[in-house]
Amino acid sequence: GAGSEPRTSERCKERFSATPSSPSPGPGGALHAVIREWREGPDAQCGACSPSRAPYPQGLLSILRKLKSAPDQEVRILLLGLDNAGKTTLLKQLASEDISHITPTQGFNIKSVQSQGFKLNVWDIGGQRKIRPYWRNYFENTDVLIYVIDSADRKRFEETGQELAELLDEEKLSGVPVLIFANKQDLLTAAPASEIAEGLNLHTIRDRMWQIQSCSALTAEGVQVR
Amino acid sequence: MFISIWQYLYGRFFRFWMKWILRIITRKCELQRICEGFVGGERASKIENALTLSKNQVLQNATSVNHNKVEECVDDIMKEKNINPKKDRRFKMRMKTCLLQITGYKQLYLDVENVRKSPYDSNNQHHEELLMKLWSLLMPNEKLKARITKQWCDIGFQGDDPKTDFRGMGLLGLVNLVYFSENYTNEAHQVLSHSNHPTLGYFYAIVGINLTEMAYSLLKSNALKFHFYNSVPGSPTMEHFHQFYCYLFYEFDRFWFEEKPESIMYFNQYREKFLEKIKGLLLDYRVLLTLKL
Repeated sequence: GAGSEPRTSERCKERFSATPSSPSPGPGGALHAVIREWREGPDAQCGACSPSRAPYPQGLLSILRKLKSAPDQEVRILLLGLDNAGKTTLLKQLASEDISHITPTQGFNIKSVQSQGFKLNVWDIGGQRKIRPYWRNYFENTDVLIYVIDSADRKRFEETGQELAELLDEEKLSGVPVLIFANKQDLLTAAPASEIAEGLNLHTIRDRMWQIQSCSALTAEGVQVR
Repeated sequence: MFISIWQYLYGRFFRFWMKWILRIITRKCELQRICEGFVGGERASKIENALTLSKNQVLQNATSVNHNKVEECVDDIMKEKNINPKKDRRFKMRMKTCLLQITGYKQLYLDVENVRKSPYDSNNQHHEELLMKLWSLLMPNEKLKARITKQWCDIGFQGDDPKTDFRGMGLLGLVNLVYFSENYTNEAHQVLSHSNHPTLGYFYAIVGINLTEMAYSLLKSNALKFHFYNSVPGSPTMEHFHQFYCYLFYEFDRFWFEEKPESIMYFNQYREKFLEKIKGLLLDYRVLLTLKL
């Protein structure tokens, strides 16, 4: 898969260069249009602009389709985010496994999931501060980075933003498309994806394909890949 | 293939005739023969099998009879199978114990599940008190400076508020941790200090919660039957579950140091290996896993 990566990120860069530098593009703005173009199907909508409308668009699939056109390809997906963001629940949800007995992840979990001709190898790495230094051991050959955020944990928005910014600066992850899951939308106190996108200055990302997606790993809304 | 055909034929036809022939020869029913010929976990588990496979409604229902009705149930079984209490004096007592063990195991799972299902709630005073108790048991010489503090990491929670670490194990994880620290204080301190080892260290509290999941899953899958049938001559209780948890935690710590993993990142691989080892031990009908001091 390494051969297709520069192409996609190159194309992505071109698209973003058309984005006006002024922030907060409203509905129908350039950013909206770019993101909408990535998405497929009649329900396509931009997570950054209208995040709360159900049904949730299927963010991961649209990225995968952009990434690799040939079927039967393996895709290495790296799941990162702070502790208690919901990474393992998301992983188990992707693999259609029971999510009721989850405990904090020590080290990592890995699962392979078949989805629409893709073989997704999903790596879920523990998120507690003390093991974040190990994250870099798993960067190599990553096709898609999924960054999970607990949308209700407002106290740690700054911390999660810093971690994400550091990841985007990593050389080994340069050009790797990033899908940000604004998780726990089932909670009343959850911040909408648009607020998170703005808080994290996602619109300043120019060097890769990116998307933000509202989801609830608990109810599986917004995370289906089948 | 042959084995499964044999098992089918045996279960369907031969078992009945075998029992009939044995009954004629020994003048005793299957339950009596089991009670005489076997002890401990093997006896209870064979009785459980016999009752489950029985076509007799009274016998079949016996495995799920209420705790208070066990005595009555044994009387019914004896009536049903024409067992004369004068000829087989020990049968009643033995059968009662077996039924208490069999039904008690099922009840224990329900009780454990109940505790697991109650999520940790920081607005619940009882939950908060338990959490504080855990701290003072593990760190008797150090005061907690605030409810939300980085100090929680010293006993192996992930961040500054343990409440999010209990997750799928709910209150059960905390109750297990407190039980270990309270009843095996020295061992808990020893394990905690091991967990702070510079290279082989791990995170005490969240490994503890992970082991709660292991104990819970083993209980749920019926893998603990032999162990409880051997260790409790009656209905196992929550206390017995905690005891098994203490065994797991102490043994896991020993296993971890014997195996010397390269880093905490390999936790799940070693956990799996440890689980396989425990599952192997639990297959033996004589198994009895207790923390030996």
